Order: sequence, then C-alpha cells, then structure tokens
Amino acid sequence: MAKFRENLITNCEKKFIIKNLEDHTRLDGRAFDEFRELSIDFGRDWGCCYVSLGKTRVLAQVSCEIQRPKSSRLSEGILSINVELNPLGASHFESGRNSELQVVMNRILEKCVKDSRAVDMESLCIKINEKVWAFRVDINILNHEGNLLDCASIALLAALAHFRRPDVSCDGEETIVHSYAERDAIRTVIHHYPVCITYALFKEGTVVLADPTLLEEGVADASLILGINSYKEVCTLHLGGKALMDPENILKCTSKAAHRASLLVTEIKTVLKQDDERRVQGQINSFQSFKHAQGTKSLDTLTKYLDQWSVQKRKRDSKRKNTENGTVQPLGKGSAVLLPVEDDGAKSWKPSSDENESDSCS
Amino acid sequence: MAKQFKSLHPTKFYRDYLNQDIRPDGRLVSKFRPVIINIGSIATADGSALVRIGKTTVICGIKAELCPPKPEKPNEGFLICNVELPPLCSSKFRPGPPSDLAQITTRFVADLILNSGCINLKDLCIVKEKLVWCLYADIICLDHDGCIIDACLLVLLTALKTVRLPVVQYDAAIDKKTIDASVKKCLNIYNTPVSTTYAMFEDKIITDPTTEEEEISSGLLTVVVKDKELCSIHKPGGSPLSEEKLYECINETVNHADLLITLINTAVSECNDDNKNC
Amino acid sequence: MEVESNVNLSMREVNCKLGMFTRPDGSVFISQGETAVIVGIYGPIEVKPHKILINKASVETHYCPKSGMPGIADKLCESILHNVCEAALASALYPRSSIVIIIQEMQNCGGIIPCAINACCLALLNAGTDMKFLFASASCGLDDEGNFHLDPDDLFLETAAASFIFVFDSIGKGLIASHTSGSFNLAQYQSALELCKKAAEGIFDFYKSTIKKDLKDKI
Repeated sequence: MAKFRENLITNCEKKFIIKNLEDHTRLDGRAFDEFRELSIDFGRDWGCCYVSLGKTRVLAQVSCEIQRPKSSRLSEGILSINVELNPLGASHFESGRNSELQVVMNRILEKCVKDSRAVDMESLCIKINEKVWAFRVDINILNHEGNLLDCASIALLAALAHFRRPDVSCDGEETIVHSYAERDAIRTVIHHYPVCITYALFKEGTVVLADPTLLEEGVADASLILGINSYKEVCTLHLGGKALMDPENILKCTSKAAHRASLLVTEIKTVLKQDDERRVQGQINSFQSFKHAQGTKSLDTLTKYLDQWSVQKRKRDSKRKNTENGTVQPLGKGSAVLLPVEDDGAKSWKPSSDENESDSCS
Repeated sequence: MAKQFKSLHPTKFYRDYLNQDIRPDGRLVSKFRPVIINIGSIATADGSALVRIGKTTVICGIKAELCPPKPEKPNEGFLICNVELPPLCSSKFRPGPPSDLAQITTRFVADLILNSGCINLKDLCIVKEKLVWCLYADIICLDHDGCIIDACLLVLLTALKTVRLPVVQYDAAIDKKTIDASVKKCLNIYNTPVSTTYAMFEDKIITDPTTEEEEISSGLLTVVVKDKELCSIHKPGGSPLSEEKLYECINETVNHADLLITLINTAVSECNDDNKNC
Repeated sequence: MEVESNVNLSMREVNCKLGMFTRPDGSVFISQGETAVIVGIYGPIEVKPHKILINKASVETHYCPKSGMPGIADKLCESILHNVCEAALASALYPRSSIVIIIQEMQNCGGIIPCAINACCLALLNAGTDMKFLFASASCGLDDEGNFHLDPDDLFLETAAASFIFVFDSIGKGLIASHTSGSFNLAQYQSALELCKKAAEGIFDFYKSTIKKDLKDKI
C-alpha cells in the first residue's frame, strides 16, 4: 500500500529542480542554507503545541498518567514518543502502524530526545519501584510540505517544556493526585534542548540544501539529519539514502546546524516565556495564529432569530399511525413472547400502472 | 421472477411494495415483529437472557466479580458492557478486531444504561473504598436481521433483572471475604428503558426494519423510552426527517414500550416463582 | 405563547479560517469558544479496492483525538459525522472514487460534535465538492431546573440533566441527525428542537458570510 494515493514526482519536475540547483537557485527563492519561517503556538491545555515551519504543520500534545516503572529502571519515569501520520497530512498517510516513514521518524526522535537524556526522568518518580509518571507525547502531522522531522522535534520540545504535571503528595500508604485547580502544576525538568535539523543532499553530497520542501525531498539523493542542542553537542547523526558524502562536508554542515540550533532554542524559550506571561495575566488565548481569521464577535444575525424564539405550548398531534396492539403470552419457564395482532381486512393487492410486464425469454 | 427482479432493481422492488403500504414479507409498514424472551439460559452466569426480535437473536450473560473501586469514585461499582457481532451472525462481519458497528453499539448501550439511571452503581458497593462488585455484561449477537440496538438493550435489561448476587461479608482488619452462596439478592432496577428502530425510505417510515430494509433505507432512527419519558433519540445522520413524522414515531414507541415492559415482566416472573429476597 | 425566562440564548464566539493547509483539497479551522477543531477533505481521490462502490463515491471519515488512539466514544462521533456527510454529499456524481474526511480535535471544551459537523460543512464548501444540501449543527443543554442553555461548554455538561445535539439541512430545515443523552420528556425535546433550529439558521448565515469574505480576499 506504499504507493497508494501517493503523489508521484514526475521526471520533468526532477530535471527542473536539478537544473535550478546548478544555477544556484531554489524554487522558493531561498539560499541553500536558509530556513523557512517558523511559528510556534500554544493551546489552552498544558502541553499542547502547534508548530508551522513554512507550510508544514504539526500538533503535539503531552499527557501523563501514573504507572509502574520498568524493571530495568526502577527510579525513573517513562517517556513515550508517538508520531501519528494523520491522514490529514497527505493523501497517502494512513492511521495504521505499518508505515516506514513513521517508524523512522519515531526512532530518530527517540534517539534525539530520549537517548540523549534531555528530560530528567528521575524527577518523574513518585515512589521507587511502585509508581512513576509516564509521559506520552503524541505528535500529529497535519500538513506535509517537507521537513517533517525538524517541525516534529521543535513541537516535541516546546510541548514538553510547556507541559505541567499535576502535583502529587504521598503520605505513607496513599498517593493523592492534586488537580490543577488545587495546587500549582509542576514543570518538566529539561536539561538541554536537542533539535533536529535536516539537510537534503544532491550530486554525491556536493550540493546541500537546508530545510527541504516536499519536492526537494522527493528529488534528493540522500538526507542528513543532525540532532544538536544549543551547546553545540551532537546528539544524533543520521545519514540515509544514496549518500556518498565527504566527511569535510559533514563537519561544515554540523557547524552551520549548530548555529541554527541555538537560534531555534532561543526562539522556543522566548515563545514559552511569552505564553507564561500571558497566562499569569489571566489571558489564555489559544492558537493565536488563527485569531487573525474571519470570525464573528458574537453571531449577530443569530440574535435576530432568537429574539423571536419562545417556548410554545404544543398541542399533541392527534393524528397517529395505526396504534399497534399486541398480546403477551408466557411460554413456559423463563420465556414469554410478544405477538402482533393480525389485522383483519388487510388491503388487497392493486397492481401499479407502471409495472413492466416484460417476460424475458428463459 | 421475483428473485431476479429483486437482485436487479432492489430499490424499485421495495418501492413497489411500499406504495401499497405493505412489505415483501407480508408485514404492514407499521407492524412490529414478534419478540421472544428467554431467561436463565446460561447456567454458569450470574444473570443471562436471550432475546429474539423476528430473526435477530441476541444473548447476554452477566458475570460478577469482586474488585477494589477506582480511587476517584470509591463507593461505585462497575458495569462493563461489551457487544460482539461475530462473523457467525452475518456475512457482513469478518473475524478480527471489533467492527465499527459493534463499537458504536457498545458505546451507545453502555451510555444509555448509565444515563437513564436504571441501575445505580452505588448499589454495587460492598465496602466503601475497599470492595465493590464489577459486572461484566457480554452481549453476543447470534443472528443479525436488523434492529440490533433494540435487541441489545432489551437483552441487557432482562439479564440485569435476573442477576442474583451472593451476600459478601468483608472483614477489613484481616482483609478476608466470606461469600455466602446460599443467600442471593437481586439488583435494584429503577426503570426500564426500551427502544424501537425505524428506517426511512424515500418519504415512508418503516417500523422495525430487517437487515435488507436497513441497507436500502436512507436513514435510521432509534427512539428510547423509559416509563413515558424519553431517554434518547438517536438519529445518526441519513436523509432529513420532518418533525411531524418524528413525533409520530415517538408516539408509536411510547405505545409499544408498554407491551415490551409487560413482556419482560412476564418472562422474569415465570422464573421467579421459587426465588426469595426480591 | 409563553416566553420562558432564564434561558441562556447566546452561543459562544465562533472563529474560522478556510484553506490553511496546502495538501488537503479543502480545510478549515473552526473554534467555538474554547473548543477548536480542524477538518480536512480529500476528494474525490483513489478508492481502496475493497471499498469500491460502482454507483457512487465511498465516503471515509476519520476522527483523530489529540492524544492516544481513537476510542469507542470517538467511533460514535465518527459514525454521526459519516452518516451526515454521506446524506449531504452528491456521491452519485463520483462513482468508483472516494471522499476522505478527517477531523482533528485541537481542543475539547464541550460541544465538539456540533463544532466538528459545522467544520465539515465549511470544509466541503472550501473543497468545492458537490452537495445536495448544506447542514448545520447546534446543541443545547438542559439543567436540573428545566432551563435551556444554547451551546453548552463542558463545565455545564458535567452537571446537566440532559443534552441535545441536532443537525439540520439548509433546504427544508428537516432533521438530519439527533443525538441525546440524559432523560427528558417530549415537551422539552420539542422545545430544544425549535431552539436549535433557530440557532442553525444563524449558522447558515455565518457560512454565507464566511464564504463571501473568503472569495473577496482571494479576488
């Protein structure tokens, strides 16, 4: 089912893009190392984050529950990252689990965030060996216009940083979970912010494009995915495709990516701070980027209709269908039957005038 | 000849019949199918019932277990319903995970039983915060010929009426349960929600449709009534319906509900001759 | 004629944005108060071989909750949306193809089903799919004293005695779908139906003004 409903990239599109690369131009006019515009939005719930990178859109949501810890790590919490290729994102995305792209994305994000120990898992422990917090991050891809991993990793980090878990108090036997209304919720402790940066490689690694669009991704020979944090530490490096790249080029890319990573992390932290300030002031505006949409302050025309509305005493409709009578008869131990009463004087069959009486030869 | 006509032009086939206000199986458009109830068919279950509406056959078995309650609701028991539509009942269903229809029916029936207040989960509590009854109600369809929601609701209600729970003594200090199997108590059933399904075909309303009629219809309507009060009007899409027709259907259901409740009570009382503590 | 006092007749503020996604043929973001939903339409596109229908388009609906796998409550939402859209779409015009409707929950603060249904209609308009009629959905809640609240949020729904969701069509104002929970009597049902019908008329006007604005912006 891999090629089902997928928009294939035509040969002339491929040739066009490669020819443009030889002339040092990209279709959307960016430089080879320029990234698309990024915007991060938060929703009303804690841990709900909507990121758009160019036209790619991703929604991440963090949820938590209390579980037994894994037997190999008794004093650490559990973090599970789940990328959902929502059918909204592209016509060939299915909600099932077998997609290769989904597995690759899940694995890279896990390597980047979990294996690099970005989130402090010890702080999620409630009672050693018995109860820990299990965080689950669901990342929904809403629109696929290239570079899903970058967008997803930014959404993942922003959602984790934004999320507050409920406060827990443990007195000997019982653990009481306090709701958000009772006690202030607790932030997640994040040591460092590793973001993923993707580069598309053409012509045996000589041409490197940052932040590829959907078309550029489809035409590329290979892709280089780097997970870097703002301290210039590389957490993940993934080179896939027909890659025959010179190590010098990889090091050059990495230093550029490091610069970009620190910009991204600053951006995430700024947006988080702004959201915090807004919440402190009591304005919880969700999904700001959509607020510049056409809307109605209140449905003005609605009041015109509702002014005429009033509760009316209705007369019960006197016309009814033939009231059905039935008889209930017991049928022995533990059984009974409800039989409809047979109608006497049933209407006789009248042939309709437009019946085709054609007898087929048989 | 009729068979070929039916398979080539199914809608014209039904339309011709419905213009005469009669259905291919001879029933009038507003007539219900005979309903048979049988209780106590599963001896190993704590409560069971079997219902047949025409050819639709559904069986329900209820098993009771003891368990600790949820921390958020320390004095409420559990009633967990599950409706199964196995490949046995119709060629439309394949083996594997539950089909969409089974999931929707489960959700609808479970919501209805709890929302209508016909049983109070607090009655299932034995000792607050420590021990409650958990009732597992498994509803399995053996033959699917239309009106599956009506049959499931009826069978679940009848089975709940036949549940007999033993009395349990719980000693909190030593955490010991003693179950006295000789003394049995019934559940308190506060009201009886019963339902009827209607199918819309062009501008006609067909009462109690069979599977074939449901398939060619342009929409279905289920009305659930309890003790002259409405419990739910479930019309999941389909062609538009005018209000007059809707209120006619509701009236019909209210009339039919009385007969269904008499039916349930007759069947249950047949078996209750030698029962105590009810 | 009696006028009932203590009826809350205002709906929450509605905001919507059309065509924000590039991949789906039609997409809309709608928020009613704090409840927000995104709907995307792909159609008509290639149909899966086992779902092919020779005389009309096969309609697929997917309801995606924000976190976790879709549960049976989500399946109930999906079935209502599926049946409403199937009745409204002129599917006989697209045989052997499939129309896919995806509803993504963004924020659920009560009344997500009516919000999603309205979003579906706008998304189908944005995608330009042929329809037999438009549909609009309104919900109202009944509290213990018998007062009606139009477009209730989740705080109200937790303690409500009954809640009603209705979907009406634009041509004959007939009832397409009805979903209720809780107990009520026939008179209350009739009043709720009338109230929601009036609200639905307001929503049809909202569709008109939205599409007009959207086309004006494009031109």
